[in-house]
Amino acid sequence: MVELKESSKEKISGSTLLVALGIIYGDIGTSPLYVLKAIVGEKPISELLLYGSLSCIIWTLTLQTTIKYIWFTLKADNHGEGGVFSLYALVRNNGKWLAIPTIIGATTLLADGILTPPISVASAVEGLTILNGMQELQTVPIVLLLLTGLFFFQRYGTKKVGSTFGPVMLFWFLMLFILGFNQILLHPTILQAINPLLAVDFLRSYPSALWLLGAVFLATTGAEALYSDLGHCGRKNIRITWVGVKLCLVTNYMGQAVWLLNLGEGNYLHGMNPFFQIMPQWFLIPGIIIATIATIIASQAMISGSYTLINEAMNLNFWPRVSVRQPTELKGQIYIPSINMLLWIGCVLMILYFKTSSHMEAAYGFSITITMLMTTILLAYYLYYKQKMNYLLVLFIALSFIFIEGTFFIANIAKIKERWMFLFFELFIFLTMYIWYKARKINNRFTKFVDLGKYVHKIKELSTDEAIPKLATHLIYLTKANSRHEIEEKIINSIFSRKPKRADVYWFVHIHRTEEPFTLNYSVSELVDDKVIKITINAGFRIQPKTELYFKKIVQELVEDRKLNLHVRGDGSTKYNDEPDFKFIVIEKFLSIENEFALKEGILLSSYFYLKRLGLSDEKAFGLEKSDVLVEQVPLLFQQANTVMLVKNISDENEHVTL
Amino acid sequence: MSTSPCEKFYNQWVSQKSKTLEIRLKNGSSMIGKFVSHYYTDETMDVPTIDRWHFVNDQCKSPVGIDAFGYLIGEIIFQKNIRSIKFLDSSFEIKF
Repeated sequence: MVELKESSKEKISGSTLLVALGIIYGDIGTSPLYVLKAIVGEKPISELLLYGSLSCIIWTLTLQTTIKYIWFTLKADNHGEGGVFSLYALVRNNGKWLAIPTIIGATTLLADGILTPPISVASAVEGLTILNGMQELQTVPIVLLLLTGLFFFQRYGTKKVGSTFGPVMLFWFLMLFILGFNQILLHPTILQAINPLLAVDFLRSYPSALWLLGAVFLATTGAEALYSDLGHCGRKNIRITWVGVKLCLVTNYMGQAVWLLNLGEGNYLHGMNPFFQIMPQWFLIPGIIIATIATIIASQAMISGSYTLINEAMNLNFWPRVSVRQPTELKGQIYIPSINMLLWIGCVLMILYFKTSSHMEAAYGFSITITMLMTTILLAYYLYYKQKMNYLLVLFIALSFIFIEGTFFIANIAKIKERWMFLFFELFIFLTMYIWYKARKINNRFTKFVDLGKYVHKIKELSTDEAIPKLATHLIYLTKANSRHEIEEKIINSIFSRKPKRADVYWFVHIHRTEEPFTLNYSVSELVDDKVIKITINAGFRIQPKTELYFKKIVQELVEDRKLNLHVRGDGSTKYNDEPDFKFIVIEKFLSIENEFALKEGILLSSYFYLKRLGLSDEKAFGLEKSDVLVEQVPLLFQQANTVMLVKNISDENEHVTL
Repeated sequence: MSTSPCEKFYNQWVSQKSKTLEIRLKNGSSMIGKFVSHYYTDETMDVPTIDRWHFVNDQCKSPVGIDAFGYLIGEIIFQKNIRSIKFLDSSFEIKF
């Protein structure tokens, strides 16, 4: 996928608008393929149904997409980045509990994301069945093949094809507009559907209209993606393109409604898709091809969005460390093999289970309503604490959207019975995030810090003690301590306990995750000149922690500035290899059997360590694969057993010793 | 550190050479010794707060408060249970 350069994101030109079209409107832009088909379903055609539901679509796109997302939510950019984790990073210091709506929002976004590619691609491919002689065509294998290919090619990135996404989507939206406009000309009174009173009348008079809102909601499921992809295009480009996109979408929905009206009052749809029915016969094949390509682009956006979501989750400590690759040199483009596999399996299972887009429509959208509710909560915090908006105004905005989204949530509840299997997937994602987040908090609470200043002289003494064999010229520890005075006790233990570790220079490297997405800078504190040095690397939550690379770069700069003497190798091997002798020490924790837990903590921590084993090792997670790394295991003691009744046998007498 | 008395104490504790303290707890007991380490409530937050201190008496030889077998010497004191701390050498006292 092509992304705008940092400087171009707030510029507006034909090419920046085209890039925005290609990246962010895939999901919302392909909704006309299934929305009206889902609303009408097997119900008899009536003016009340069509005018009312069309009015609901228009006002949903206005209130939910335009006002909430385009106007309010896009304001909440975190140094240009959007999405639930970026928003959380902005407000996390204003409420610890905000981690929970963030986890729920991310979980539900990912869960419905699994249905986006199958529903979109299936809707497009099913268009083939209206061609003469192809009515009995089995579309499931075609959809499976297309999506499997899409997931397979993720490892190569989208650099080569990404530049075509914008023009294709432009063509797609023009097609939507022209097809819709042709129909409106036949029945211009359809424009009356803009009147919101028709939506109100529909909700009041049409039988079970509330439940139909579940299908209306499908028109705005892609709104969350507008915010998630903010970082790719910039706010202005999104806002400007939305004007055109909304016009094309509404025109097409109106056109489909006209075609449905022309079927006649009381008639049925009989499984036809109004989206394809408004196409002239000669245009059907190219129309289906364009629709299929557009849905593949939409799926690509969802897949890339999922990688970004998990990458942010990892960097904000919501997800275990997994392998992240950069398939091309494009900034921000990543590929996460494990997530790719998870999504592919999820999509394949969905296709095999639901088989047709009609069945998927009955299940799609429920989770997104929850994502939107969670975004509303985080957004309210942002507007109040960061935008300093009036308390009552924030309350009004939040309650208004909670009311709208709450209504959609209720309307979508009926979908649970069609999507029960999602609950397992959602539970898995939620528990993974919750366990990782919560157990790390407990873990952090039991991390002991000491005053580094107290040990500096002892470290200096050890460094010059010739009686102790030298372990390395440069010994590097990774530390969590934010303050330059502090260090974890386990590091001091590692240096001095068992066999003391002698080195010429002791480095303590701290990676500080900033709330800005792309920060990358560092500071150096020399506690003892050329002997004890603490480095703090400030890295944004979108930055991959390539510790070794950053560390060597910093050392290089210190040497060039003549602030550091690299020292010769202790074993005299410098004449054969003048590369500095760096040794990284990674301290891995394990759960000691000496712990005694309450049930909840026990389950949390055991699950955490199990997940940790499934994820990347610490040295790989910190990007130390190519370095000389020594891994040490230390027990993690949370609640140590207090007393032990130990019986000592002396001859025939028993002596009880209480420890 | 968000709470100012705690932050004030921490800064003094870091800068002070002699760290022998007299600690009065809210239950009325008092003790003399030193802090060897501490725990944060959540050190990933931008303003972490000290939650507990590892306290040893003045005679403790181990700098980290752990014996030769790896067991804890002294006790863990919750910050919320401390009423006041006095640096014995400078008579600087802080009340919580």
